[in-house]
Amino acid sequence: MASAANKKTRELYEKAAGRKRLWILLLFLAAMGIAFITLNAGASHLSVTKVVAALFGNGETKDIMVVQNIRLPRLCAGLAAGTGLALAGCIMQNNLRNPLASPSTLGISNAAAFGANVAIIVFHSGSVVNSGLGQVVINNPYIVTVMALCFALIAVALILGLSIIRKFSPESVILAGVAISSLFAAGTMIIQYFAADSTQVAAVIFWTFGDLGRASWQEIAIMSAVVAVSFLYFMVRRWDYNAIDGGEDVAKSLGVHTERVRLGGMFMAALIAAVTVSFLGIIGFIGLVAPQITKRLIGTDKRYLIPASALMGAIILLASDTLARTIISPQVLPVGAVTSFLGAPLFLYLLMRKGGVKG
Amino acid sequence: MILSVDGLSFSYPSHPVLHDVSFTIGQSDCIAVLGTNGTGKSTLLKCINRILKPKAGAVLIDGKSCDALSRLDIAKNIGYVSQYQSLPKITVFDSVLLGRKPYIKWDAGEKDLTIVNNALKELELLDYAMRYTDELSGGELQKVVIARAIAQEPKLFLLDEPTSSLDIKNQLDTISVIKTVARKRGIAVIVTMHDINLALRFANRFILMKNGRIFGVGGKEIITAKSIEEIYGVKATVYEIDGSMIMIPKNHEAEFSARKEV
Ligand SMILES: Nc1ncnc2c1ncn2[C@@H]1O[C@H](COP(=O)(O)OP(=O)(O)O)[C@@H](O)[C@H]1O
Ligand SMILES: [Mg+2]
Repeated sequence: MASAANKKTRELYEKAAGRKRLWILLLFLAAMGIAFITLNAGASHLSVTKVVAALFGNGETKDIMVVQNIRLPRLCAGLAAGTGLALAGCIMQNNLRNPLASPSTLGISNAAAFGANVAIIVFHSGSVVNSGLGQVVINNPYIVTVMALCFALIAVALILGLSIIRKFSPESVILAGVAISSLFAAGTMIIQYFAADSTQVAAVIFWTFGDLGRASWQEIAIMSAVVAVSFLYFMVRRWDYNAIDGGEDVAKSLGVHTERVRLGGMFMAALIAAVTVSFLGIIGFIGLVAPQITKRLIGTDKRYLIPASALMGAIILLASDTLARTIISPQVLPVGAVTSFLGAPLFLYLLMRKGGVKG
Repeated sequence: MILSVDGLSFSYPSHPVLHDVSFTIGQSDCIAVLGTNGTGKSTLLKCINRILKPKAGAVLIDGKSCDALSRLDIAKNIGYVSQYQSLPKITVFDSVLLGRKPYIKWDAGEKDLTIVNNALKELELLDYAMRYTDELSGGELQKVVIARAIAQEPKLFLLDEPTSSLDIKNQLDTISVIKTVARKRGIAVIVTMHDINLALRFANRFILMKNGRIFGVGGKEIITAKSIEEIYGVKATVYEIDGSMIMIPKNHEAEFSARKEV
């Protein structure tokens, strides 16, 4: 009798876990599907067979150029940035125990943008070439990235410092983030205001609109590496994050070095945000909304939430980018705006649907 | 002896709380910590398992200083149930599985799942295993947290007011479950409580605290009208009825001259 109940409980547990793994599989397939659609969407209308052929280096040179040099890097940048930003948001929300935490609400995006502004305007690391097209070229992407990263980390240090030393309540941490965010926004404004060269300001403003097509292969490789390493790190820490969800004291009593885990998590998350923002510009909202949507689909257990959020981020960003490029083609909308247009209604819907699926 | 606390002092940045607290606890001891609100009972428990770092003094587990133990080692030795519960919204099974955190390297293994299952069974939670924590009553939640501490397989439980939010039946049930588990596995217990009568039923030793200091340590004999008045500032009578002790606070106006059973 008792052993039957035991067995039943174990079976139920395995079943619930299986359901969550199935969700992850579905999200993975959806991400792959959207990736394929992304690859096929664009101003030059290519048939699916041509795209696939070009992917493997067959077919007309022009098609190969389009697919391998424009669409594929764009897709890879989208995958890296989408998963990365969602992961960053997911971890920040857990580490600060606040559903509003994300790279943008904590001021990290603005801080990174400020760093990029300093690099581009003060250190002249960027300029506009072919100004008719408004094509932005960052002459020295490493200075831009390093500056963006430095300022992103300064923002994180401020937030972590405030929340740990002063034992801020979660709301205060977010408020501090908003304050830090506007501080850097103001700094950016002043730098731009005093910029000697107006083309530099144009460069910076174009830079600020997130664009997946901007990154070089090298930048994509760096971004992917950072995201992959962070993902592994977050997965290693997934039990610690689950414990932190139970509160500071409980986590400590379960053997978690909460300060260390937080510091590591926030650092990695900030690194993702900084690298992404500095290579692609600001892509808001994904970090906030992708983990939240995913949480409502499969629950807060980090064993499943971390990979599922990453996939959700990729899905939203790729879908947004495809829409941005096709909806008024050949005009391209800023992808950051479209992520909000797409994510916000979905999120509102899930918020209003009471309880949500827990699976 | 499994734990000894020696000259423990602790201060929050704003003010000192614990002063020179010392006591020991043996293998199957169950110690109830009694004292008014704000006297430092919760703080004492948190200092014992290093949630808070004491300002001075030592905590020794099996003769080894907590300073020398890693957080994980402390977690394997001490299971903690905090006064306030904020469980993440996961299933009961997963909540109890968190108790295996100190042992889990990469993923939960067969052994971990079996231990969780047994802990659930012990607290009669098997039927709730797949429920989410926000679908539980206060008493059920309390049981989940205790099950998590059991899954930790500790040598010592630190229970901070485990019965305060429970009705009388759940109080008695929870207490008897803790007692059974502790006795069966030889786990020592330090529990804080406000209900002196419940403590008298439950514990074999008592720590009376006043203003962050130890006022008295000992067996049931230290629960007297005098000590209760000293600690709580309340006049009370302690009766011994059929070998067990019962404390009844005195009515300020009248003594119980017209006592009658109802
Ligand atoms: N985080 C904290 N920061 C500052 N003071 C605290 C904190 N937690 C508790 N205190 C103070 O420490 C004293 C002891 O608190 P506590 O250990 O919770 O008492 P008890 O559990 O006996 O009611 C109280 O005066 C309380 O106000
Ligand atoms: Mg207390």
